[in-house]
Amino acid sequence: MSPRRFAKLVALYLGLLVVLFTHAGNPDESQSTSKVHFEYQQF
Amino acid sequence: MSLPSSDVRLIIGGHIAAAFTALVILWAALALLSRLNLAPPSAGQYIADPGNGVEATQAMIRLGSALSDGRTVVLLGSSELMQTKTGFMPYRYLPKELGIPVLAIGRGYFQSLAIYGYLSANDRYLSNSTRLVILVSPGWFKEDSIPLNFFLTYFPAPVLARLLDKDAVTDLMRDYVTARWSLMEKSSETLSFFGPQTNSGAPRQRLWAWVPSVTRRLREQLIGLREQAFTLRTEFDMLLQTEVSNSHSTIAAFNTETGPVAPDWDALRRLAQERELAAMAHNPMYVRDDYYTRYLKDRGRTEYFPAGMDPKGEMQMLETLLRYLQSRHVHALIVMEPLNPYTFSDASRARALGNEVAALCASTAMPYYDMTQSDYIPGTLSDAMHVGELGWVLIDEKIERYYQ
Repeated sequence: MSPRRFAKLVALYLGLLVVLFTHAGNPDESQSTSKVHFEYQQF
Repeated sequence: MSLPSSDVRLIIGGHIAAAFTALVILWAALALLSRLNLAPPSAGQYIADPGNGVEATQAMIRLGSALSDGRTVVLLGSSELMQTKTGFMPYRYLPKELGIPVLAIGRGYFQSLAIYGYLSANDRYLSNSTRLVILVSPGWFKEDSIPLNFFLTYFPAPVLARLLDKDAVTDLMRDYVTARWSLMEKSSETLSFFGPQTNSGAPRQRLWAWVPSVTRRLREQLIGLREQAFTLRTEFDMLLQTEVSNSHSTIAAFNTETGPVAPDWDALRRLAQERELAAMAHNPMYVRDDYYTRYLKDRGRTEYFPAGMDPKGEMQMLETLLRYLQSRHVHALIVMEPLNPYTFSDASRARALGNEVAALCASTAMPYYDMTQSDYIPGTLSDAMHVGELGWVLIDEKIERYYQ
């Protein structure tokens, strides 16, 4: 494989990874919850 | 016409090498960019808790930026930071009047474990130029540890994602989460990494026992990378002033008309005490009148600390936090807050806690301001345990003198 073709392939994969990480890569937004709720007491 | 098998191998090999090279380039670029400080500077901000999703990522970006810019004072504490009627609150007073930017984070139960987690999550931004103030309350030592729902509020997935590769804090948090796993109603994917660990199973499966641990490591890496990439995107959004959420809004802006002036601390102390005493003129307990009517009128003076209180757990966690800061060359100003002796008959017990914290600070070379040791001056607190106008002026003065 020629260096030019290899560079093109790297660019292609880089583009794919950037798209994957910046668009599909949203954070885990599922909220963890507890069965027991505890309020802060002022006193 | 079909390709010879050696050509097919060469093409596949070329694709694999190209994909791997792209991955390495992306990883290196992320590692480099994440060290840059892209978040816009701000004057006075307060974040009670991080929220979740984008909000939590923004909160971490703001914290990382403030810890690394060498200018912003990061103020970490608990419920005292929530007071709205206090003009001398550091995140209001210091930016506006003295031109010192302040980022404050915390509300009830934001104490040693949470602070340790937040600073570890921003480990790369800590240095000897970090300006950090930690407000310690005697109330921290009343219970063994923080309630689970507060832990979950302070550690949403975007914060936890930054801790997955920090073994020391991860182990501590895993102990905490595992001990309370039966109280969990729902766990996020990221939190599950801090939950109970499964064993390798029956003997005949041991041959493949490494598979789950490798898969787990890969999943951890992927979550970390995903959060890093999302952080970069969010930083650019923040730079372009297109924030998705405005809940972490700026509280105080710099006073551009007069600019910072040298403060007359004696006069400010007098003014602050006058203000605070005026708000507590109609009760004998030196608390604000609305607080007295709501909580104390029918209750009177009581004891604060429970009979079997054991401060050891929280004290050990505080020591872990201070030793960690010492290892990162951070000289944090530690402030120990008092209790109101007109409200609590055992307020003087806070002095013993203050002495223990003093010993920890001495052994970790942290500057320490202990408000429990001197005779209580009415107006220092606005109620039974939360800092009032006079107390904030005393703290503002310490911060200004220490960091100017």
